[in-house]
Amino acid sequence: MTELGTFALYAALVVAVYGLAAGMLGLRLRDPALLEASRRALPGWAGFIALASGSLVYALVTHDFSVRFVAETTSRGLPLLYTITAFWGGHAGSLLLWALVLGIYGAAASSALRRLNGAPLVYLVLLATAGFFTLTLAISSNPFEALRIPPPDGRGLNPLLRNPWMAAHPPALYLGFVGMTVPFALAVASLIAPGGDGAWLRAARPWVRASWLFLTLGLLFGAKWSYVVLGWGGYWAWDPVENAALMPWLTSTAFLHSIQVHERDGTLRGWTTALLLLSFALSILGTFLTRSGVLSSVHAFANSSVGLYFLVFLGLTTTASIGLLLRSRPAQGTAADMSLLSREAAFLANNVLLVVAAAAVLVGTLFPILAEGVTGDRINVGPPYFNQVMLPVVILLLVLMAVGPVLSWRRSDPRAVGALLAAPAAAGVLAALGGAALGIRHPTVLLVGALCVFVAGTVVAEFARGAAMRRGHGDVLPVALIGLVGRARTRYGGYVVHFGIIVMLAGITASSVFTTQTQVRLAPGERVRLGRYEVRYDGARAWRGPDLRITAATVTAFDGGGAAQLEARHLSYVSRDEVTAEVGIRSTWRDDLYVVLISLSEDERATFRLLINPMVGWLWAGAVLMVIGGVIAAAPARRRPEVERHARADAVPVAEAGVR
Amino acid sequence: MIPVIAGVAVLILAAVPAGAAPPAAVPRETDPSIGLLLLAIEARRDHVRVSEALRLSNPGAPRDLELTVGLPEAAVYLTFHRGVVDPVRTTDGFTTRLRLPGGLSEIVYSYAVPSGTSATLVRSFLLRVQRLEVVVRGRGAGLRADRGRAAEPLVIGGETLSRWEVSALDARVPVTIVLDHLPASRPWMPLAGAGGLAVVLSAGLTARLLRRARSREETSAV
Repeated sequence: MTELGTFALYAALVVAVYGLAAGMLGLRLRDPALLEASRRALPGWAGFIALASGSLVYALVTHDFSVRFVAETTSRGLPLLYTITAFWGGHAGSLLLWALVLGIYGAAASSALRRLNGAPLVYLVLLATAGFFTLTLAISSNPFEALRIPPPDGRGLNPLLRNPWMAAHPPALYLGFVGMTVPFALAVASLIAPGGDGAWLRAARPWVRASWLFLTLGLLFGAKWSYVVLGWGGYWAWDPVENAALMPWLTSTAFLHSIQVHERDGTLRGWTTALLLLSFALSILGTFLTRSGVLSSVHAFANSSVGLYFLVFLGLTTTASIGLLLRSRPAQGTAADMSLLSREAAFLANNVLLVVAAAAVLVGTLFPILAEGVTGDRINVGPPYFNQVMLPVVILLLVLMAVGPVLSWRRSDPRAVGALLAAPAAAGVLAALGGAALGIRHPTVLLVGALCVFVAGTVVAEFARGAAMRRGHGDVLPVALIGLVGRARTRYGGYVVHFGIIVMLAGITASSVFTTQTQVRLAPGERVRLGRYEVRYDGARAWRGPDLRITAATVTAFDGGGAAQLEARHLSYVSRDEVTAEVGIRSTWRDDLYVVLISLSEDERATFRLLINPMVGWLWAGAVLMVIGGVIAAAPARRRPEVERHARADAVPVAEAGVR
Repeated sequence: MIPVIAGVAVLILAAVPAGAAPPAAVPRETDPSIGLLLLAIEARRDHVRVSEALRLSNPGAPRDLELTVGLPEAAVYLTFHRGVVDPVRTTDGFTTRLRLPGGLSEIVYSYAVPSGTSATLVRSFLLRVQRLEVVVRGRGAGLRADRGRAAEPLVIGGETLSRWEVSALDARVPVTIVLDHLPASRPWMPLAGAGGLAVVLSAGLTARLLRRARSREETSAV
């Protein structure tokens, strides 16, 4: 396998170089045959990367410990699922995964973009990126590096990675990161050949949507993993690698809004292009942070010289991007008659806020490195900084999310907007008053809660108005709603995403502010009360599994209405001599009872950390709604021209009626 | 996890009747000796995995024995499979304290040694070896030693294993076992394959450019 895998990597490098050479010569000589050869090099390259990936999977599954990567990340006792997911459980394998995902996107792009005028430039950028990754794999991070004498058994997978959420987290994240490469290539191509009519940016949209969707999933899986595995009771710690995934998510969200303005009237071209370039740069930065181990992080499990390669690549792409932007100065401009009370203005403000948020996260993430570089001391930037900076941004974004849907393009009638917002705003105020009456005194909670209800109100009202319009044509409500969403997927998919965001924000706010916790040492049969729960420690047991010893403490939680048994565990991995925890969680819509086993003494007394995390379920539900909304928006539209016109008429905001 | 070859060693050891060793020529004595030493060698790419199964013979009363076993200098991944309690790894092998019952007892361990297309193993033991048997698993692998003679190949599970036998090896007397035609990696293969692909693709590109130049010349000539 080492020979086949290494051959596949070298061959992929040869094909990438060949494709680059053919493409450059083809462009210079205007030779269609050479350009076609360059295009075909992309799926060819992807094929060799797939062969390398298949070889690695085979080596993993057959426990071929003559491959160093296999010996370092798996063991004979490792379950099959984690033996396969060990593919991305180490540095070299995860880089190969990066390349594999790029191969999938590249092969798809070579087919999907072939009718796009100037597509060869896009292929060249993709091939250059492919070449860089293959070169890095071949010379610095070859996952097929051989061990002359294989050990009888491997070291096993990092215990923290032996979790279904972590099995899914890296592929989702990489599908998001790498997905930014195609839009980046389109943006670069549009800057090199700026005569285009905006088709380049429009072509980027579905790729960014897919990328955004996968980044959302990746962030969700990572948060869930952090919550159920790390045992600290939270789901987001502003860890540098979490931030690395959040930054391109923020900028791609900005793109998905600005492209709507650009598509409508051709404005904001430079800004929209810059967002694509920035999203890609942040994706590479994210990979650099993860791979280089330059920042202290639970994710940065791999220290490798590959960081330098990424830094150089990041420097080159960023410099080239800025240079191209400055050289071509794409038309920026806004519509002359655009008012501040318009959808364009709302999208622009949303873009500024999202980019400010990304910049704030970037500063907080990189500051420790810069400070260490200058002063020699490591200064950590923790959650207080991020929370303080992000809170005003989130509040302003919520205001825009509430107001934006009822604004018309170009200009809105203030009275019509006021009329449409009155009811949702009143609902928000009532929610805040209700919260205060229930004893909530935290001003941030009351404000965020009120804004969430405000946003929910406008979203529900938008659906209600659209559905009412369709019901006027004789549709029953469910059919009207489905028809509504089907005919304006971007818009209503976006509203579902907005709804998901506010559900998630409600969960984040409640679980951040109202968590209660205690630490207790109990003998079997003893009880402790925490909030609405009474928790009884039932006893402990221990047993052996493949490659691990498990110690579990069982508790029963009584909440007045019923009882639930939970088990908190310590997992001791033999092959790696490491211990991890498995948290016991009882999840309801109201709250999570979160039980962590701290220690267990020989007389079976156990020390527990117990937490009640309110509304964490809302966070996951909100994230799922975001994904559903993203899928709706990303689904390809199947519309006939006349139907499209009808759909556009449906999509006109009611506020626009006031302008006409 | 017992590697396959250690399993083969145990299998062969079990198949040899206790009465088969020592041969009649061995004088009676009370000191323990190795009645049968089986070296089962598995030829793998770039290394051989050696399993040594020692059938210890103690004609006297039960006794404790401080056993020291020297290993080849490059031996790695020493693994104990049977009979060894609390071994201590030393720079040149390992030591262990055994409780020898009267009669026969067994210990089995294995290790790996790097190899090229050939390998030489020099083995000597602090106890007298009444019979040494070497078995090699690996397609086409050759086996010879500076003492003893080749024996009839062994067929296990449809697979033919080369054999070599040495009788009455005195304590500390080395026996040199030479293995050849061993499988070795070919690190040049991936490079050669990719190089071949590069040549083919470059040739295609050059041919296209030449064809293009020729057609331009023809066009300008017309």
